[in-house]
Amino acid sequence: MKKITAALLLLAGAMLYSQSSIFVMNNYNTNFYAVGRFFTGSKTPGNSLSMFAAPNPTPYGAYTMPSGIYHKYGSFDTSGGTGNIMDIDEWYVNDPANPANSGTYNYNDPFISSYMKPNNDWAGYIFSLKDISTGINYDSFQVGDPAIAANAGFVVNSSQIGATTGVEAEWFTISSGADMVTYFTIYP
Amino acid sequence: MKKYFLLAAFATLSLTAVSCNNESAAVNTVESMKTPEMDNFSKAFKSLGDPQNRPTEEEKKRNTSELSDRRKALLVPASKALILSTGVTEAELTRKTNGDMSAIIVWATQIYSQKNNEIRNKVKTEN
Repeated sequence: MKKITAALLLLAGAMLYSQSSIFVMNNYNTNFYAVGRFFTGSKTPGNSLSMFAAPNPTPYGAYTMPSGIYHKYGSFDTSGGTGNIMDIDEWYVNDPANPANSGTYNYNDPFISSYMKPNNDWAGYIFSLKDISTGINYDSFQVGDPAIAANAGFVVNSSQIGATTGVEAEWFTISSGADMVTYFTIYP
Repeated sequence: MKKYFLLAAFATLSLTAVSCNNESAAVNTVESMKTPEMDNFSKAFKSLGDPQNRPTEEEKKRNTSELSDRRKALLVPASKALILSTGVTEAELTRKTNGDMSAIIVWATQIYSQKNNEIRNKVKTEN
């Protein structure tokens, strides 16, 4: 009976901790893709545990948000395997305090569920805008949650306007009790 | 032994429920299948980039990533309409959210994502 109780408690705990925030992205811009590095960071200052998304299945070899895209990630460990162009099938983990943890993990690896989910949140996107017709890159953006990105060692802005393109990108959260949604938007 | 089976069944059911909730949504390939309420919800977020709706200097200085109340208010009408379009009544909406703007927007976000997913799956099976 004790064992069953322990198992139930563990399960309850796992369900409680799997409350990582939802991430929603919208690229409303019809002229530009965004190409760059999408990452997560620790919620605790002084902890530099972080991870980067592997390139999603586009021809650009980097994490890409196509023009006009809407996508939602429910959590880090459900980010791939759906056959969607926005799938993140692998995460590159960087854990300076425990170097043995650093490396590449499948999105649904138990390490991502049990270790990264409780300890990290969506941090930021460092990217350029790529003209959909010419393929030329414009402007360098570093947009995200300044506090979380700083823990991963990056400086980001919550909103930024490209000097050349005039395009605005923005990152914000909407929190209601334990529920939180992170929105990242590239405006027209 | 029976207890263990029941436990396993319970665990599987719980995990399935969790995983379904977390299923990521789809690329929106068929705009035409979106309901008007979905369209308006998406447009409301797009409108946050309009010059008069952009973050003010004051709002930028706040030490938080949380959207300001002024800008949350811009998302509430479309969020409410999307929630009501699922058959939820005004009374239920008020009871569940206490009129809290964040609670309304987060709820609508989940509905939008779910509906988008349904449309994507429908398109998949039709093609």
